[in-house]
Amino acid sequence: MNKLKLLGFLSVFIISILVLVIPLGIRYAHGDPLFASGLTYYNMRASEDLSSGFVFDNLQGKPHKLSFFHYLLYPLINLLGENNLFIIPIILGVLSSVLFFLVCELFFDDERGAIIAGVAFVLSPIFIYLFTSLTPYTFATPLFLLFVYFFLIKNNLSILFLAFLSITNFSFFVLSVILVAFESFYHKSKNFFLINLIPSIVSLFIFLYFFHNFVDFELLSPSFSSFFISFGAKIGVAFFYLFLGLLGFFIISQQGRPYNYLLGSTMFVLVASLFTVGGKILLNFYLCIFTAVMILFLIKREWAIMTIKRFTLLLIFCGLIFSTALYSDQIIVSQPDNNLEKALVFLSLEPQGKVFSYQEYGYFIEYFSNKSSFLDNSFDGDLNSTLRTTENNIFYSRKLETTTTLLDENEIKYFLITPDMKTGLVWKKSEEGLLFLLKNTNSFKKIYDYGGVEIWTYPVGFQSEIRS
Amino acid sequence: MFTHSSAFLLIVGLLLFLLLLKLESFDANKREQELILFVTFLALWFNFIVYKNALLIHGPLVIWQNIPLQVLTNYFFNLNIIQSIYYIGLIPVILGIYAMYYALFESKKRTLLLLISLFLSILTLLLLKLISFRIGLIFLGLILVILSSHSLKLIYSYIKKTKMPAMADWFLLVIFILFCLTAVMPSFNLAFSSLENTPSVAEINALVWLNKNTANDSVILARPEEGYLINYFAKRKNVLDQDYLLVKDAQQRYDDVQSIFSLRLKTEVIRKLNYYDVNYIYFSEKFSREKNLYYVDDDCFDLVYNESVKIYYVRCKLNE
Repeated sequence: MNKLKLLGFLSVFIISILVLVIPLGIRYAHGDPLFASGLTYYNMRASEDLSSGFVFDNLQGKPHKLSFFHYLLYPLINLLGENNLFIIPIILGVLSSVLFFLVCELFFDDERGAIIAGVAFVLSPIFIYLFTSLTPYTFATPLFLLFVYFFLIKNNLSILFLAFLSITNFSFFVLSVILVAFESFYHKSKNFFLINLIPSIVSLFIFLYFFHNFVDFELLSPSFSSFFISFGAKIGVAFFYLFLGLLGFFIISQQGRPYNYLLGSTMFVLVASLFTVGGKILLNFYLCIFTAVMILFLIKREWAIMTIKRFTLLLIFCGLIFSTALYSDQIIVSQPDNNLEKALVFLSLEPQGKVFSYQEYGYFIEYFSNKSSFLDNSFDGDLNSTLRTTENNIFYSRKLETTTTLLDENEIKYFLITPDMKTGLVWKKSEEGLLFLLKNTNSFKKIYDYGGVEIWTYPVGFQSEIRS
Repeated sequence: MFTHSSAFLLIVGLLLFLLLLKLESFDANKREQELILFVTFLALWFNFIVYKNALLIHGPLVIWQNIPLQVLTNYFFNLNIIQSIYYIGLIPVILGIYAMYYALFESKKRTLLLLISLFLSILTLLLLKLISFRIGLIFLGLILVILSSHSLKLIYSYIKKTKMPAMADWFLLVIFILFCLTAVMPSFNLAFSSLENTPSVAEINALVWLNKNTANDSVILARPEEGYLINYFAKRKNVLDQDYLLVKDAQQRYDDVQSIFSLRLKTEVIRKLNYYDVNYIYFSEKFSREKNLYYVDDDCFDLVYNESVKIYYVRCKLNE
């Protein structure tokens, strides 16, 4: 291993650890639960249910959406304990960053290109999202990179990783197969592609035969706010990366035929990123490569004004760091915090009943309090929109009769109210809608109030009793 | 660059400049390219830091600065050529366009191409309604004036070469007179009309009265155009002013504030006043068609200041 490669390897390795440990470390220092993503808590609960033989979500009354990832997660929870589970995404993150560096090495003639692409990847918001949470994508990303690496060096191990990828995340698998199919046909290596594809399809069908609740192809509705991190997307692209990536794309496009596959597949990934999370992760890989192309171009260029060169490179570095810092900050301040966790642990000791709160808190309620939530992010389609309409009616109605009728119909027993909900997340005024009713009627009883988090209880069937 | 988001105009203009250079087959100057690249990165990075919160709240709609619809139509309106010529002045427009023609088809001067790129970028953004009409015209006017100086120089030196060189000075005089008539006079007109928007002594007295006679945490309702005056002279909170960018419910607030000055139904007004915790209504006729507030009565509103400006204290609370 030459010196430059070792330096690149070490820098990617160290920066990836730092980038992942800092937000989790700050959350730990605040006393907050380490994982900020609600989906992580859902996955942990689903894995635990699976270990007990349940593929049905008893709390929410519908089947769990499962994949190979959930089967793998439970032994890890048992092995490490829930408190040490944060090690898993960090290890997977470091592994992914090193793998991405190795894949980039195959692409760049200049070793520096692979180093810059590797560093750009570990500083990207998508990297932070993937490896500070536990979702099927956290497992699928290193599997994808392992598959791509072995596929590119024509090693048969790629078969194994594609097979695992097929049962871990279906949308990621489909996108990977399309990309690799294009590559194989472009470079006329169809046989190796088919050798990879057939076992993965077989393993997918075996998994589908035994486990009916496999996560289906999740399609997003494209919008700016779900695409760009700066517009509030949880998993999305940073503006600065896109801008640098476009410039890099422009530079590559001038190099002609050898890069036609790369340019064509970029267009495909760009379209896929509008509709799938897997597409966004793939686009991020491409943007990191194009960013490296752009930076390498600037480094190699003969500058007329050297001061401008230094400042331009410094600005680019600041821009990349800024995207990382902005996203890390979002992770640090995200719920669940210490106070919400305490409230939910208190709620877990109360008798069973449905909990009404903000939709994003649904997974936290189910995980920490072991109670069913009126609405969480697992509902989709018509049921989701019906429940959201009811949720809005309960949040904003100041008519006791309307509210109690809805509460009785939906068998809601508890209300979880956080300071964020009272200051803009749901209500703007202290006496708005449900807040007014909670304070000014005798129908509700406050059972918990600490750190601004309140839990109120409502006797189910209260309205029906009054009527009778 | 660091003072206003209109720095993006410069970036678009500079990128267009590079394109024009390529189209006109000029050799790319390394220094120019490097400076443009640096300025682009700097503007992007700096504006993302400054508008981080606004981007998070409004997403792509941040381009329109969260301005309420009613105000937006006066802010980003369709480009009207006659009106634009009136505001910029006929002489700068004619001479500026001539300079552009000369630069593009006759001389192909590099420095003029830069000005033309900036002009085209502003014109495009104005046509697409991506910048405010006022800001667009300011920059258009500035560029046309600089371009027209080049035309003047060309025409002046051309006349000097003819058989009547003495006419050159007369030509300048005629242009000067025409410029005064078509640009300077309208400018004075506009300046005088904008003076009408400055606060009068009576208004300042009323605002000072608010400062001296109301509790520090009072909320004052006034027209959005008077919001800054409430903050500056009365040192009190307003319900809405003209900085809409970080106001989450700007449209709702704007509608509510405007309706409070025109509604006749007292209950509805009190509901809205209670919603915004309003303690005082500041009513001047400057930005109103209404001569008085229809719903005020002794039960709920005390007229605490009664000059050309009226200030009402809101006493009632609505129990729903």
